[in-house]
Amino acid sequence: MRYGFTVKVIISLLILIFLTFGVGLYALITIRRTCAELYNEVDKAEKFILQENWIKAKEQSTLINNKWQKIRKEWAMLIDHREIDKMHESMMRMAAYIKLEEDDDALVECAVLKELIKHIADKDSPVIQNIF
Amino acid sequence: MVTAIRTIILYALVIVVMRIMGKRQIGQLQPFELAIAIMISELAAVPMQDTGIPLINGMIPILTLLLAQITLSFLSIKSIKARSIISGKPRILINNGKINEHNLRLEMYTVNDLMEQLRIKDICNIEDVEYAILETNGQLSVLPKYSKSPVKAEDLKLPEKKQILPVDIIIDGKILYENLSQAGISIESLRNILRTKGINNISEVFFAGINSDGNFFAQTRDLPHGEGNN
Repeated sequence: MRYGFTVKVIISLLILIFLTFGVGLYALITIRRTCAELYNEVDKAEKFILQENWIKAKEQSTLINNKWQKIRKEWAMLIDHREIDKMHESMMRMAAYIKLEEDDDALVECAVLKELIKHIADKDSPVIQNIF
Repeated sequence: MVTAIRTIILYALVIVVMRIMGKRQIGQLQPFELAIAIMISELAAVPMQDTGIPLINGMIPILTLLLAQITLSFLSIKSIKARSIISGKPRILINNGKINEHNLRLEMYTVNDLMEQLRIKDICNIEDVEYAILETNGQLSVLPKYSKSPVKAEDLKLPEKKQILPVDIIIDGKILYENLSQAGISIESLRNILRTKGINNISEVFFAGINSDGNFFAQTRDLPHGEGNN
């Protein structure tokens, strides 16, 4: 009887550990993966703008936008919606500047976007700075 | 709409968590349990009203607290040493009618607090107290001196009377069949008992049960004239 109780409690604890840390880990991995993807794509767009290759930059902008629409849905369950809104605004601004071929503004927006992506990726990392 | 759905989800989660944590959560809280209860209510309230925060950000901390609570409770059950560290130890505040100042100071309990607690327990003089123990949940247990203890049936040498477990049989016109069989009464005999009390229909009964003396008690629903049966 007593032994059965101990086993039950240990099993419940293991399920809870699996649930809390499992969900946390899933969120962390998903955010990191999607952030890396977005960062690389924005980086590519930045390079095309610097080369003034507007055709490639516009193609890249469309690609980023398509990816963003998918990632946005995934993020909605994991990240503060205000952060997502900020990213979305920046993303839209960057697309507009690329469309208008405004290299200075587009480059500034790329830099802002990269910083926002880095911030989101770092925000939930299990490091001392984030814990305290 | 979204807020309402989120509220229902979080409310359900908090109810489940509080149920898993055990009945002690509602009544006598240990210090660590009180801390967890306060934190859970706060954690659930924030994502409830702020739709910008993902639901998961509210659910993970609640589940983590549940994890911590079960771990501490489990340790408390398994080890006496852990129990005394987590919940503390009961401390004697009055020993043989004399206040233990050292323990009073350790518990940051003032003489006024002590007197107040004694008065709540109908004791006005410290010298009437044999022992007063401050329990780990903050309640004061008082053992009065023998001469000041309430008289018991045993002291008066009254014949022993067996007390039985009171059972509710009908609530709001509905028979509780499990309790009925526990009391060893068939539906037919229940109807007969009710008939002797002038009740012909079970749906008329507001409450019926067997009290600790073994007597059947029944009360009908309020009639327009406020009549009832006993």
